[in-house]
Formats: sequence, structure tokens, C-alpha cells
Amino acid sequence: MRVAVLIIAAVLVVGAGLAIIRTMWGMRAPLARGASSSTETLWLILPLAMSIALVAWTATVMP
Amino acid sequence: MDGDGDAVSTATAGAVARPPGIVRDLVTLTKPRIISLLLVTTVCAMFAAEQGVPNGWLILWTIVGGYLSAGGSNTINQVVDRDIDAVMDRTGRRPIVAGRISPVAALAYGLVLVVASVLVLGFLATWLAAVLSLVGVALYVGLYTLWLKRTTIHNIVIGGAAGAIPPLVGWAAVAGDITFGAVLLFAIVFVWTPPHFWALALMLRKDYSQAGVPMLPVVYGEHATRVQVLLWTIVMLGTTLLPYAAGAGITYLVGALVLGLPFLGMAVMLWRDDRSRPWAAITFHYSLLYLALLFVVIAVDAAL
Repeated sequence: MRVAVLIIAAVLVVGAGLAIIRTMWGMRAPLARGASSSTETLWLILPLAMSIALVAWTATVMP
Repeated sequence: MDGDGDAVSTATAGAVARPPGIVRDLVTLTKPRIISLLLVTTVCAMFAAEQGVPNGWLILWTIVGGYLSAGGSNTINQVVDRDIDAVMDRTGRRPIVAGRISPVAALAYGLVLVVASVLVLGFLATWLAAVLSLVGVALYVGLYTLWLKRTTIHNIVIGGAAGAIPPLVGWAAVAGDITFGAVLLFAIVFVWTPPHFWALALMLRKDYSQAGVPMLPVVYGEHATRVQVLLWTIVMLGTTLLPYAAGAGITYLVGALVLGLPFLGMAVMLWRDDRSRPWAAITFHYSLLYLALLFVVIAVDAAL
């Protein structure tokens, strides 16, 4: 049961995460002083990478 | 004479019923309604860390410290953002904008609250909780308010880390450390923030546009924002399943699904409906209830 829930969670997080990156990839233009396309890319990818890493971490601590 | 007496009693009753203006303004600066939701996540995280009911005094002092910390952050935020607040309908009557409290006085007040929070949490909870609350202040004031809010459409995504600190403070107050369970609670609040805040931004698009704040709907429009609300709600729903995979009880799983699926349904309706305002309002208000109830479920599941 817990494995099935983890798999569903992984599909939701990874699937939607990749869709977010795909749909926002064209929105990385810097908008103001203090911003650049590389920092915009970092802000886009970092939270989703962390979410996917959390799924992987969960797999290692499952009872 | 009777008339004068009535006037005096009415004035006296009014003075008793409503606190003096300065007190009211000092409380308003801390944004008590926002803090109440943060404190729900803090206290429920304490139950999760204890796997039962924590010490009552520890809960009390953590609430006091958490309020002071968040109140200090919110006050400093209003000092920095007073130019934005002045041009937004929603915030145009705040004490600093209205000139009832000077920016310097408000800044001093905010800093005093932050220092007091560190002392309360450090001496009466744990020093890790105190340090984490300070990290929360730094993230909210430094990362979000001073940097990201005015420069990127990802402002509320990355800035959401500040709002996700309170569960860590609650956990650290009980356990004295941060383990996997605490990180999960942080992550849940973090991924809840984009659909919550972008639903609000859809409602306040004109205000943000007037103030020149690059919220997603201002820069890339309402359709792009509705798509992101839906996708982030799916990420959030997936993330809320992880505690069960990691060992939480069936009570938690049922609660997470019962609360999360309506949230997903609202995000779908918001995505499909071109007249997004009503569904944005519904999604935003439900998101507040959702987070509070989800954390109550976490606490109940831990205490069972």
C-alpha cells in the first residue's frame, strides 16, 4: 500500500513538475535589475528539483 | 444634561470596546490574521515531532515566540513595501502608509519583536527553534521582500520558503533537531504556496499591476497563471501523499485525500473557466482552510 502511494506521489510530482518547467521555460526573461535569465532558470528548476529529491528521499526511509 | 451623560457613556463604552489607536496600529502591523495560520502549522508540527501531545508550556512559549517572529517580519515588510502599499487599494490604509506610524518607529518596533522572539524561543523552547525563526525572518525580509518580490515572477515560489519555516520552528522546539519528518512538513507548506498565492494574485491583478509588482498574472496573463495553479496543485497533492509513504497512519492518508481532492477540483475549474475571478476567490479561500485542516490531520494522526 505504501509503495503504491509513493509511486502515485512520484508520478504526480515528477509529471506536474516537468510540465511546469515546460510551460514556464519561455518565461525566463529577466524583468528587472538584479535579475538574469540564469537566475530565472535557477528559480524555475530549484523548487521542482527539491520536490523530486524529496520523493527519492521518502523511498529511502519507508518503513 | 442627560444628553451629555449619554454622550460620555457612549464615548466611554467606545473606548472600552476598541483599543486605543496606537495599540490597534501596532497589532495591525503584525498582520495577526496571517500569523494565525502560521501558528496552526507550528503547533501541529509540535504534535508530529512529539508523536503525541507536547508540554503545554512549551506550546505556549513557542506560540508567543512564533507570533513575535512573524509579527516582526511582517512589520519590517511593511516598512520596506510602503511605496507599494500606498498604491494598492487593499493596503492603502495600513498604519505606515496612512502616516499614523513613522517608518523609523515601525522598523524599530519590528526589530524589537524579532529580538524578543529569539530570546523567548531560545530560553523557553530550544535555540535551534530560535535560529530557525531568525532564518525565517531573513528569508521573508531579505530574500522575498527586498529581492525577489520586485524582480521575478517566481517571487512567491522561492519566497514561499519563508512561510514554510514555522513548522520547522515547531518541530525544533520539541525535538531539538530537524529530521525527515520536519522536512516533509516544510515541503508541504512550500508547494502549497504557489496555488494559494497565485489564486490571490488573480483576484488582485490590477492592484499588483498598478504597483509594478511582477506577479505572474501581471507579466504573463491570467491563462498562464491558471495553468500554473493547476500544475502546482498536482505537485502539492503528490507531496502530501509522501508522509503516508514514509510511515504516517491511514487517518492521515484519508484526511490528505479528502482535503486535497476538492482543492484539485477547484484548480481544474479555475483552469477551465475563462471568467477566473469567482474560482480564484473560491480556490484562495479554500486553500487557507485546507492548510489549517491538513495540519490538524497531521497532529491528530501523530497523537493517535
